[in-house]
Amino acid sequence: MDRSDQPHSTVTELLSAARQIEAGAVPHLRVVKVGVLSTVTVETLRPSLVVEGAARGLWIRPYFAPFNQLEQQVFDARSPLHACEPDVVILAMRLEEIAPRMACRFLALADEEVQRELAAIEERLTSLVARLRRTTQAAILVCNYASPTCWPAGLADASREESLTHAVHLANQAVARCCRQVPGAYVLDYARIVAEVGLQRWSDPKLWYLGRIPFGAEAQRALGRWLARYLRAVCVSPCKCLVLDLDNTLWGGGLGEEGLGGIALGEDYPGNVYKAFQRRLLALRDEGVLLAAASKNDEREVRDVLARHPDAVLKAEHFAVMEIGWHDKATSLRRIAQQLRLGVEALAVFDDSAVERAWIRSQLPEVTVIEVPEDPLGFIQALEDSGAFDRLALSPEDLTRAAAYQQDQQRQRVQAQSESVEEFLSGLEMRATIGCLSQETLPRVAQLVAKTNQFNLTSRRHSAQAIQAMVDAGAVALWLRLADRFGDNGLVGVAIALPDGGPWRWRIDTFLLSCRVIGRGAETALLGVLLRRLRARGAREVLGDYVPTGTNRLAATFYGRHGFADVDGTGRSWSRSLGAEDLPLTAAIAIEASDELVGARTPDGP
Amino acid sequence: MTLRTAAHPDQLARVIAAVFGIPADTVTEESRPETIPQWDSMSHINLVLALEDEFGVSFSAEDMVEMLSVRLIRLILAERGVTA
Repeated sequence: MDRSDQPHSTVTELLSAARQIEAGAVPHLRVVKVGVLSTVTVETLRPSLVVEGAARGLWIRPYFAPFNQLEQQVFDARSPLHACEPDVVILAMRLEEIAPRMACRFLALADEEVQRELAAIEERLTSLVARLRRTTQAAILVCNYASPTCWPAGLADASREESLTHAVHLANQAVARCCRQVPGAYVLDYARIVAEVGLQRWSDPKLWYLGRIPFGAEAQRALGRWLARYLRAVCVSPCKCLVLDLDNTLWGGGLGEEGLGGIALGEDYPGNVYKAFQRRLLALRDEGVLLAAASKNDEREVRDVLARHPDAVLKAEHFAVMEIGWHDKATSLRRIAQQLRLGVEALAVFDDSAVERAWIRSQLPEVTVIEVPEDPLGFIQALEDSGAFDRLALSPEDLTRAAAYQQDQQRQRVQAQSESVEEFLSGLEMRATIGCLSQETLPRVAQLVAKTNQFNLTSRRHSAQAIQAMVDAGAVALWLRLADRFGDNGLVGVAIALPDGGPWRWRIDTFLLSCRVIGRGAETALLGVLLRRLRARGAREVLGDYVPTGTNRLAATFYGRHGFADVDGTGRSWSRSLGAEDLPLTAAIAIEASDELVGARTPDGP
Repeated sequence: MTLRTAAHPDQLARVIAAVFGIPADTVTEESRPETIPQWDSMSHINLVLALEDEFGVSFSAEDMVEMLSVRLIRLILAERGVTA
């Protein structure tokens, strides 16, 4: 998956590999249809895109529109773009084509003219993206703008207040703004990719002048790799937890042999390499990735290093779980997953030992095992290149996840001290807030729909745009937030119901709770409010499905516990009539929901 | 200019065959876009990049326009010091 997989494959090897993949030679790939619209010729990306996609489990089937066909493809419902029914649409515009005066003759423009050009390209992009959103359920990836090669004032440019650099920055802010306003639209950071390769190395003039291709051979490889990473992030949920080895991963040397004073961790080489890696891991935790340790070591000695070593960036509290002991690593990983209430497929492993990596791969093929280079100088790049934690949007819950798990450990301590479950739950002082889906909550709701495994009745993986389309078509979509005396768990529950044949009968399409809050009665609160809402919409009967997936067994009894009848004895189809009777609520949770939601005075009828 | 010698006299034919996905023994000195249906403008770009990569040379835009048969490609490579 990372660069080391194809260290020096030649162009002919790449072309042959792409041809084989396109002929179907690689089994078990997930098909992703991609429509690419651009102001330049991008078709030469095909081989590297296909090969990099296959390395990530995807069979990428691209459609490249002829250059400069943007509106023609987007606004015509019968265009080849729409005919290929893309799962993803990539919009790749360059300032050189869409704002040529700004890109090439910046100094000839007055400030107001620059502003007008910026406004015009923002309007053009907004209208393209809005139309795509109405006509397709595809994820939309919009390339931001790289700096044009033109350097208007030369050496003096960076000193100017109104520089082209600043204008490009404003244009890129507008791209991000446009994407934030549209569900399922994300920025593809083209500017970053060009910077990674280098502006001078990016292009091959003969390809530009003869073929209108703005990237040379090296850039095409890099771009194919990055596009494949983005496409994978559209299709595959990121890992949630990084499990770290300790000796020769977080510090140099073996703690057992070298002792606290002997391991390499400090401000000078080689200790500074490990210290920098620890800093990077802490930043990864800020993104919402949980850290865990799995190490064959003496736990007391490890805790001593984390607490007392002056250069230890990572402390014990930064680890959601530590499995230090003499178990085999696969057992440790299973225990970590269990304690975090995650499936093992949510784990990624970073371990310097090739033997351990091979063992984990053989025992737990679902785990993402990151390929670690021999030289620790390559650790950070290997972590980046793995793409294990790639996601297209960060939710507020991501930013507080690691802290939330720490609060959860406090809760578990209280639970251990409580006499009964009821006492524990009432001691939590839980407050649920329940509301209707909105633009602000859609990204997090879509994230939960995409990745919740355990308490998920149907596990239907609707995209953000599909959820929005359901609501637009009349679905009731509710979210639930849960707070308690230890902190706010964030948005952790989703329920979506659709009319089924008429307003008197509704079907619960999606009902799920994040594993953060399982076992606290929040599902009862959410169902109670949902049923009130449906009753207010005219429901007399509510249907619910339970679709077993192998990981959601704990949701099997949910409908039975809440007054639903098993329709055909299979435990998969449930039905409940809705009369005037009281609907389920839980005593331990105070519910804050708007009047409109609770039902009696709802303004909108069926 | 250093004279580079191809590892095998048929290396050029093999590169061309690999780029277009055709058997190497169907490539002759007279092969050109009219005789190889896969040799379109887009795969011409791939061919140029593959040749640069395989023979460690860098072509000009003129070269790229002119390399329209196997014989011509061999001549252009020879100008760059590669006996292919």
